[in-house]
Amino acid sequence: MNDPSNPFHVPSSSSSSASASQSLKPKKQLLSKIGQPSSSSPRTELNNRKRFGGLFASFGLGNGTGSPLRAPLGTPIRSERRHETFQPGDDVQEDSSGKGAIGGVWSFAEKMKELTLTVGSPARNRNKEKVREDTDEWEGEGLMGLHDEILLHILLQLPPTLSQLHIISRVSTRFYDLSRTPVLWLRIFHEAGFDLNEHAQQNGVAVEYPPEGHWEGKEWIHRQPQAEGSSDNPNSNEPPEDDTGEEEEEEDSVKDSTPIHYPTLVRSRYIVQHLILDSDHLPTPTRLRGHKDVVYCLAQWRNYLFTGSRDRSIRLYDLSTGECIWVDSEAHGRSVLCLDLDIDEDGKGTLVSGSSDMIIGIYTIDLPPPSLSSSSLAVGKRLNTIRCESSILSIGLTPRYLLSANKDTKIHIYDRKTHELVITLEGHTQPINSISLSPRKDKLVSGSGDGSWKIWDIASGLIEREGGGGRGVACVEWNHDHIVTGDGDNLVKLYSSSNGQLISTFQGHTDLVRSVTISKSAGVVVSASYDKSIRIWDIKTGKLIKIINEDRSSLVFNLKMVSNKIIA
Amino acid sequence: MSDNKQKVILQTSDDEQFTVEKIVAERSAMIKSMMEDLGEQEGQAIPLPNVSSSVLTKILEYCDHHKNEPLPAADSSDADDSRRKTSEIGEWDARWIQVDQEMLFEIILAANYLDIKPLLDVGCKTVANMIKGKTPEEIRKLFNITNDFTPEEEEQIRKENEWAEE
Repeated sequence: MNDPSNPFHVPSSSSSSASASQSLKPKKQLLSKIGQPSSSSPRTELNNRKRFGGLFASFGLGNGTGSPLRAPLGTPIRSERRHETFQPGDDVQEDSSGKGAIGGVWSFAEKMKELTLTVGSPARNRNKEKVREDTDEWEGEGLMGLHDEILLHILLQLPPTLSQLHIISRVSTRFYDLSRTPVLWLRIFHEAGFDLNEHAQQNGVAVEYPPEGHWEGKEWIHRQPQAEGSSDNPNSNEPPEDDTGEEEEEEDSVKDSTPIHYPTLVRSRYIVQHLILDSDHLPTPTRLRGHKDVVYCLAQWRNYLFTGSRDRSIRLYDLSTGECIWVDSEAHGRSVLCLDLDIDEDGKGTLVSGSSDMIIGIYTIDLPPPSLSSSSLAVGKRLNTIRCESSILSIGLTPRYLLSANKDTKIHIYDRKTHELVITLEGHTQPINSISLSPRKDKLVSGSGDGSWKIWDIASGLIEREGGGGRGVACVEWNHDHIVTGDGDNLVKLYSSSNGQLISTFQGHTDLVRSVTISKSAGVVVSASYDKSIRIWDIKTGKLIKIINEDRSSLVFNLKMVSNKIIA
Repeated sequence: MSDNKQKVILQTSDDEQFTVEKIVAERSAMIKSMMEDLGEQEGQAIPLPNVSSSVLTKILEYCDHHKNEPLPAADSSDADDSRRKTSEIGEWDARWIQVDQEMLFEIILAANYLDIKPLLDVGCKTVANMIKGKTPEEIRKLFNITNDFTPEEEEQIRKENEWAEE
């Protein structure tokens, strides 16, 4: 308005007569087109609502199932009138601009197109309004006169935080609806360091309607637990239920074609994270019974937990019920020391076990769907055994190989199909206590009693990097770009897998650290020690967050933090 | 070389004609593709029925200032918006966009219509900066937005949000 470069070029068309006194003209034009009497500012919002009624519907809130606030207004009017009021040229115009910030992210691009058509009118009217001087009235239209695509673009420039989005949602109904847009939540989701699991990345479709159910404090209450398409994180509605149940997020547990309602997902992630970081929150353990002797190792897949014990058996527990649903009581001739799993989406796959009887057991696994879990018995079948020359201390599966770390200081790599030895990795001078695979499963890290850890390229068998220097690495875990080790000198150390540098040392355990794991998304390292405690550390600060140290009368041998639990 | 000196005529909604360097006009992906579609026709004005001369004058300033910068990749998908870092507005741009709300929104609309992505970003960031740090009430006041929530709805939204505010 005060811009000196605005020379008031008055066109020769009919609007040349526009002046301050006609400041409402454009709105009048618009309103008269949809059969409304003209109105002044108090009703502007209402007018907007009328005008954008079709838009609310397009935003996925209008189908009645999901609109948390209200049904859309004026949808039928809009869709009929639109065609009357639009000039032929408008379609072309909007086509070129309709590919805005969100088109690619949303699955309902079609609706977006309709949306831009619907709300394209302000743009068209703009040029006739320019000579107005009544800025107050103009500003009333101003921001709200932009179409949703642009408003969303503006919102995308705001800091991706929950509090900012909440402020936006409280401005007006239109902003509220905009604030439900998946792409905004997606930003918050990523900004918080969360990630979808692989399955969800491939199959996830952002939706705007929340899943069936509601929040009660920190618990999500599912209305229909069996319903498909619950897009949130059901983890948080399960009570903690393992030996040491601790909420932890890792998987978002979305299933099948997987609609993802980001607001719910983000909330459940935050709550879970909050519980982990809250030093007052101590998990309530659930004990799984059945083994007659010390349990040495664990392997979890979704809701199932395999355990290997000194009593020579392997058991399978359903974590939702705590029941043991399968057992191979004579799995090995001696203690079962290590387990690994490779299970596909359908619950089929392979379990391998290693034992001090120097035998590797290979099982085919066919896990029943959750609903049938307790009834089915034929879960695992011993397929083969591989005989070694020393105890198998740690074991791993890649798509192509079976890896075993042995007391004889060597890592043996077998072909998964033929079970024949492919290569033996030599380099350590003491027994290899632990191995862990890289995220892409093309490399492994080994931790040995000789105090070092080594990264090996599996295909070539070459050592790529090594480090260490403690009194003996008891356990090692590779997660994203971090390697964490637990040592005989009671320390937990965090290394970068890309350059091998020590990032931090967590000091506090009073005995050998027997098991370690990382949750990158929660930003914590969890360690378990022969000092009978489990400690949770902050990755960034290196500080101890809390100790889980209830009256554990026995040692902690293995600990997994997958999904939402620490299992020890 | 001579290519760069080529002129293009743009005709605004109010029938004003602007003769500009081709390289300036091409900041607008819309004009660029239009020129490609129409071919080189000397003296042929490109109609911009959605842009007034006052706004175009302003926008041409911007295009002229940025004319030698590389154009954003033609199809740099916005699907990555969720991860995109929001960069600061450049110093010149910040000064340039110090306009009243009317002009600001006109610039945004025109940038959208003309498909000048960096300009659209600058405009939207400017509005975002106006929103940032304000309460809902302040936002409503600034942009003259009516609070159209019923008390029940306000309560419902408050409940929806309260979990995160502890």
